Amino acid sequence: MAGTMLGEPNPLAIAFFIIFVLSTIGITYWAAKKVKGTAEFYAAGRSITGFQNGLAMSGDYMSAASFLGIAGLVATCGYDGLLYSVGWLVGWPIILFLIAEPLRNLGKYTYIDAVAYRLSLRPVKLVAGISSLVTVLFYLIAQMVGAGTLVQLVFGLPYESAIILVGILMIVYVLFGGMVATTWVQIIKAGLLLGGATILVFMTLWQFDFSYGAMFTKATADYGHSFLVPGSLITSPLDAFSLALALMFGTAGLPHILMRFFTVPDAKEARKSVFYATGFIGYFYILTVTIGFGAATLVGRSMVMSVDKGGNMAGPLLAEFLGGGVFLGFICAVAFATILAVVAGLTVSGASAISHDLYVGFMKNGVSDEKREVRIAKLATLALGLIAIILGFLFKGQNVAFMVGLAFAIAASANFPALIMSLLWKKFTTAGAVASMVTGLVLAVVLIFLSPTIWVDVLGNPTAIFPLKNVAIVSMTSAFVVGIIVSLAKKEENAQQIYDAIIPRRYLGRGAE
Amino acid sequence: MVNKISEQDIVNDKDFKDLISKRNTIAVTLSILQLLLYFGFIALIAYNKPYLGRTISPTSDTTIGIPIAIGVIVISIILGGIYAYWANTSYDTSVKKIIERMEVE
Repeated sequence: MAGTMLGEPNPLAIAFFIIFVLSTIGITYWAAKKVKGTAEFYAAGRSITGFQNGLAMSGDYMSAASFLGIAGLVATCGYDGLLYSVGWLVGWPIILFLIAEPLRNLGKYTYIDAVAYRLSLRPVKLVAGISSLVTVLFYLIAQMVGAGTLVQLVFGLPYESAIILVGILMIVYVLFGGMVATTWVQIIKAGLLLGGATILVFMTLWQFDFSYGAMFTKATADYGHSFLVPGSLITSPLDAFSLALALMFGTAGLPHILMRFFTVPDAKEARKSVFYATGFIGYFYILTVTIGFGAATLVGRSMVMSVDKGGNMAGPLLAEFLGGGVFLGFICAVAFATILAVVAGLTVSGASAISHDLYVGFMKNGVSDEKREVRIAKLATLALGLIAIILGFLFKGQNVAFMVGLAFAIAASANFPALIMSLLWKKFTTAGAVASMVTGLVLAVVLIFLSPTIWVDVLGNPTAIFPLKNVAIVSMTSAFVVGIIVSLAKKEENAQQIYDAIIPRRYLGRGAE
Repeated sequence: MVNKISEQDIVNDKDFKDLISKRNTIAVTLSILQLLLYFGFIALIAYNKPYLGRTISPTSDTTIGIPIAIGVIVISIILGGIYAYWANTSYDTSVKKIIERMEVE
């Protein structure tokens, strides 16, 4: 491929995008009439079906990092990209087997409700609320910077205007439409993304007479046998296992994903939604891998990297190669819609951490009137929108790829161990939960700072203080060990009694919210 | 209407206990399978890259690593499907029966 229209304003992309924005604002207007109390704002009135929620979950999960990022990684590094597509999928069955049903039966609006249901409310809500918020913020920075860069390339808008546009739209969706609007934005986006990627893959395979073998033969001819073998991304076995832990269990600790379980009426629908989400996401990752190899063989690696060093434009460039400006415009609009939807999901989740967990749970010890809680949630939405815009400005031009990794490391280390131990282990205590979450959060953040990812690549020091690129093997393991030791050190009678008393609710769903 | 079995008694009910232990066995077994599947794949990457680099047949350039990676994704979905199928049919039916016994005099 010799040239690209990327970088010049694409009128079709703008037209597609305006249609998306207008229809989602229409949905928000419709949703705004429904959002009356906390159940609507946080949980869409628990009116979403398992199938719809499965789509919305996959919409929440399939971020620009997975659509543009995995395709880009495959296009530039070959096989190594597959590690991410596999790693980001394998956590879902674990959520299904161990977390979905008890989480739905025991919680109310956030996963922290389920961590805290039998422990002392205030300390757990405080620490978990902070860790939830930190996870969301890191994820948000990566999405905002990605959005700014993408819009700059595709729409020819300045970076700052793009950030402000994304910030305003996410505030509008969440502030007026709450979880109702957010859910439908996710569903539409998931449909567009799955449809767009399917067409892209269909057209790619057409070029190879629908033979993956022929595509891999071309890839080997162009880049050698090593392109189809795991390579430089994973240098040591320890790093491989550490990355694997973060990808698998980080998925099971993402607050904006776990929050979606409360939008369905019961545990049965929660279970169905994870199964559908697993299917959609698995299918999608197989598509993105194909798109990556397609971009490498049809567009060419050097072309992909000349537009964006990280390879993030592999998917859009492949679309342009196969379908010209029209298809390029469509795929770019889909990518932007993807970011917008993920950002909205993160905002609902961040706002609920502030209003439901930190304000009502920690400050008011769980007691607050509903109107006030919704008002705080809306103020938090506004504040998060502004913070997201400011962070987007601050991190302009920075390499933020590690921030998604950081969000997963924190989710795997601070959120997941406390959640799974509270759900499954009778002897877990308040002190154990707090100690585990603090250990996981602090270790994940500090070790990543000292790891080659930041200490060498970002700060430019010659050698890293912490040798591994991926920290979860230390931070997540420590969170479990500390949580277990502290819980065993001092018994919490009350927590054990509630654990037993709540068994019918946990398995039969009796009395669940 | 009087409850036949109260919330306190149901915990000691044999059917309920059997149901819980069956659910936990299935959930834990499937989780272990899923962990073995994924960490087995990671172990191959960590310790045996040359194996993943073999081609699937002498005439093909496709490496074994590619169907293995896609296989991990597909098997994960199938394991999830097995659980969802069991829970939607067997588990939900048993839950319904137990709840009926709790509510119907």
